[in-house]
Amino acid sequence: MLMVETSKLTKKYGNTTVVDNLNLKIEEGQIFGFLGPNGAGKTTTILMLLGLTTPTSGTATIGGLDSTHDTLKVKRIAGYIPEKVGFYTDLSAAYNLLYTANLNGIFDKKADAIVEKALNDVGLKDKANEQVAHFSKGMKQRLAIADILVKQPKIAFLDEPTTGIDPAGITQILDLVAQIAKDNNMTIIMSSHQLSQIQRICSHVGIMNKGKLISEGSIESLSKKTGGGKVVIEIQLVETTKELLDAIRNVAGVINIERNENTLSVTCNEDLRKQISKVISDKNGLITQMKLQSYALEDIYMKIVKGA
Amino acid sequence: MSAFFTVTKKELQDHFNSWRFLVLLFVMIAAIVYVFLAVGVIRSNSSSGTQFIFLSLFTTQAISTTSSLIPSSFMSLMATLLPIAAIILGLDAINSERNGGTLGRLVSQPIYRDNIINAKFLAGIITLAVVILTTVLLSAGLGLKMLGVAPGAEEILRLIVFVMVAIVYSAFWLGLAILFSTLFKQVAVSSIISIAVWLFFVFFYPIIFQMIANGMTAATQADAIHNANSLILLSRLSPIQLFNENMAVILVPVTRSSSQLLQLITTDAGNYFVANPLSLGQSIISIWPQLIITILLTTVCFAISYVKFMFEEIRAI
Repeated sequence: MLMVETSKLTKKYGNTTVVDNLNLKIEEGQIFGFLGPNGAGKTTTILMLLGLTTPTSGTATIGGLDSTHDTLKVKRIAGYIPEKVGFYTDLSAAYNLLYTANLNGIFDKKADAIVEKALNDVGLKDKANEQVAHFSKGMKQRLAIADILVKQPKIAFLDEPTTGIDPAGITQILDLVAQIAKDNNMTIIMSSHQLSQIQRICSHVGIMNKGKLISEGSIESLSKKTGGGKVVIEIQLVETTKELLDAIRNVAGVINIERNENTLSVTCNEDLRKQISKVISDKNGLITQMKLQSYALEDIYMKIVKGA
Repeated sequence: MSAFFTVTKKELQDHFNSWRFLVLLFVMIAAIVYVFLAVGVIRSNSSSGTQFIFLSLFTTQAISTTSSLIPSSFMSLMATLLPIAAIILGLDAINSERNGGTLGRLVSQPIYRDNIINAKFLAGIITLAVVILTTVLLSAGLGLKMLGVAPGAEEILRLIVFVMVAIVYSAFWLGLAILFSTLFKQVAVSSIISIAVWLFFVFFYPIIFQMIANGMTAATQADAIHNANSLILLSRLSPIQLFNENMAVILVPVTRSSSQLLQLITTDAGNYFVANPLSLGQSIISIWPQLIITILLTTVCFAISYVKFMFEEIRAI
């Protein structure tokens, strides 16, 4: 089922066109990465989908509801974490979430239970009764995710959820987002200007620049389409031996290996994860982590950013 | 419970739990001290048998001062301090949410946008109503105990009218503060402007008014009446003056009219009028225009904030 659909969606501020004839389709259950440099129109698109900004022309729908006219119904099924998300700093974390629960028509014991579960899910259970004023940026962002969990929407919009957070915190938040999407069968739209973050959790990606959607599709299809299938596989090993390196190099299709301590970046013609992991296990090597990165996507994105 | 009441409830909790409430508490205590002092003054003047002795608790000069800038009675203290109480509650209503990043989260909840600003206004008015009512009740209780005189039915009615007029008056200042908090992005700017408006009307407006009055000359009687009329109009541009006039009529039943010109005639030009108290209905009729103007000013302030908030690009939030 289509969760999000926009048709010729346009927003102009004076003579500046911020979003230009955008046609976007996002399926239910996807984690969709909205990629683009600053000022590409990502936030404006999200705001129009949520019914918080009126489009100049065109339509936006969420779950079949018109965002501009059925605003209240849309806001019932859509959660939103703004880029500059904030909480009432003089109130406790739990109270902030309770307020959201009440605003969504959840009260009393049911609200308490839902808030407790949400705080537990994001690992802030011990901080429930602490004032938000004492929270770090990363903790606030996790609280924002708990805020979404309290609301239990069908779809959640996360506007640059990782801005200003340290690398460990970024990983934590991205994994958390992927986890809640899976657990709650939630569609997630996450905007970011960093490809690596989008690649980590998103199944689909839309690249936006100057108000236009440049490219859209699943990450694999996009890299195949534009990069001739050239991919990079990142492998983390428990111990890297010369024997292992040679074995990987000998796999048919491997073009290049870059080594950084126990992390290898293997450039290949196609997705060779199966073959490479087999070779490693044959040589009694242990893999900590293995993931697919696409070179091609990075290339397109960099071209766009430089051109902007 | 709808989202509107959820927001109102939260705002009320904020008002009663924050440092702002200390300011409101200060207003209450100051008012009670004034009544306490007034009891002393009334006792020493016991010879002048007034009909409405209980009401005089609120109007008697409790502090003898020559400066018109220092409130001398409970009534003028309320006129000076209620605006501050109201401003304190509204000065960062909208822009603190915007700066704190909570407005973006709030407007994305299933709630109509006007519910937010309406709830904030309502919560402010409820808080002020509680403060005014408590102050009057505590003062009345203290007066009752110390004077040993029970209020008559008419006096009670007049006090109820006083409470209602005071709520309308403070609602105007609340509306003004909320207006500035929607117009200006920075809390510091909106606070300073709200306080500046209050300072202007409390301290500078009377001075300017006095200067203009002193500069007026009249050759004929017609001129004098014309001048007096212009001065009345000028003085009524100040909401504080409007409130003072209302209070004088409500709490001092012998006041014939809030018009100073008429007061001038009644006192100066001999006893055309017998100093008989007016009925409550007549008193209300004579302050009706002032009351309507105060309500109108409140509505205008609120309407501008409402429109600004409703049609503002959420992007700015």
